Amino acid sequence: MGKIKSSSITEVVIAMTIIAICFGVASIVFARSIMVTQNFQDFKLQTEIQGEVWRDLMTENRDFSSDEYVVNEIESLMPAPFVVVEFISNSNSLLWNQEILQKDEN
Amino acid sequence: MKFKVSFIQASSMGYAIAYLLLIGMLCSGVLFISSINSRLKILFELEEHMLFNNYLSLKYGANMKELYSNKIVHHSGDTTILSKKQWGGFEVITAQTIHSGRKIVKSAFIGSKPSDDLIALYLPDYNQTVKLCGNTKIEGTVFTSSRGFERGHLSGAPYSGDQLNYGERFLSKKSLPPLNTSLSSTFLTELINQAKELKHISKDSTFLFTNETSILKSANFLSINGDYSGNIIFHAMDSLVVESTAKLKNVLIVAPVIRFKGGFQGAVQAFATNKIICEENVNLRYPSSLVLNESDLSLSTHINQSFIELRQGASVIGGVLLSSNNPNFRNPVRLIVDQALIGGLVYNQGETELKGEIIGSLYTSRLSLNYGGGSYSGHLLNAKISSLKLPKEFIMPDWLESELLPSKRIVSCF
Repeated sequence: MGKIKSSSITEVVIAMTIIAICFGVASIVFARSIMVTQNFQDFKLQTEIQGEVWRDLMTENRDFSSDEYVVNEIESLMPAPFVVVEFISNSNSLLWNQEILQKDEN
Repeated sequence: MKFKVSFIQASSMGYAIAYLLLIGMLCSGVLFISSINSRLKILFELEEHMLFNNYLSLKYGANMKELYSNKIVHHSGDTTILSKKQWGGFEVITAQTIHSGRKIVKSAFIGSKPSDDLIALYLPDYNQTVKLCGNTKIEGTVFTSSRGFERGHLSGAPYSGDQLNYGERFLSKKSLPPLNTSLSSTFLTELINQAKELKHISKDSTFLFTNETSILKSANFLSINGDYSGNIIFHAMDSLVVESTAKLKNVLIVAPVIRFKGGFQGAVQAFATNKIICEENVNLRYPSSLVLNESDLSLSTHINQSFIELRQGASVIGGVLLSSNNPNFRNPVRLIVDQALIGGLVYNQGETELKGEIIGSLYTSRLSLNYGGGSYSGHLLNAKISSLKLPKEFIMPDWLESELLPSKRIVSCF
């Protein structure tokens, strides 16, 4: 049996360190990229909200109420009848915001 | 037996570098996919916002009598530029939504939303009875003289209904409700004068409402036999024929005499001063309108009566308007509906001969009937008028004067 050179041990240590750093960086990158992507539930809600906004625009049957998100009305850059509605999920993320026309109460 | 033991070289660094490269490539791939995903999400949201804002602007512009501002700056950073003009019986509004080099352009026809108590029949109070014969049926609110309706009998066809009219009846005024003052004949002249004249036209052409209106003129006869849509006027000084193979969408046609050949289908607004004839099975789809405005020139140059005639199987969905600058009670403008269908608003300052169906409203000065060689005034034979069958979503041409500001709606978006 031959002897393993002592320099190889250093080499193995360095190599393992490199691999560990690689693995760590890869994990962080993967985790961050997953975090950036919208989660499926929010995406589903966003699609439902867009459907409701289209229905409001087409038929004027406005019903934005839901248990799955909160609707806030904020000022628009344009004067009335323009207003902006924000749809905020229960996890407090902004799902969608949309300018709409205020309904004529008369 | 003797084994030769070979030395395995320690090359961990080589493996580590290979691993480093592999992981690096994988990470780059993940980062690339993630960045593309985010970018696509932003782009799709941008596009979605632009579509919403474009339609929202069309709706906003539809209800503005005068556009106090033709530029809308949206919360999402989009900008919409609006323009509005009269296009036949309807108004056309165009919205261009722009965001960092991207553009969405949509146009829409707008008209008036009819009131809930839509009138089925309005006859001015000339103290004349209307005689109902055969399978005539009137559904909806009617305005007539105090003499109202009577059961009639024509050539073995007595009135078959159990009620005279299926709806409320009120006393009418001495004249028809006035026409909208904004509906002046000058708008057409102005539109024609301002339009860009085409020397020739290719067989299939689409004209955008964002561009200047185009016009194809003929000093005498014009025959249309192509596929045309949008912002174009076909104008003939004498007569104009729309061939059955033509495909027209949202165009205007103007001539003293207009004839739609049998079997033609399309969405057209036709303006004549003497005659409009829809031959058998002509189908003018929503939103279409036929307008006959008998001018002084028409009265002096045409001996024949001015009329609109819809022959068997024809249909017009939108509106029909007949008016005269100088109404002649002996020779009034005339609407003949012979086993044909009109959906929407019909306003006639002259006589109506209805042997077909009107789903919507009929405002006419007089009713008449030519049958079996005889002429009968104030008679309806096998005619059907119903305002109840008209869909609630149906938008009328903006022809009638209203004290209330009519609620405007989008008729069609393209």
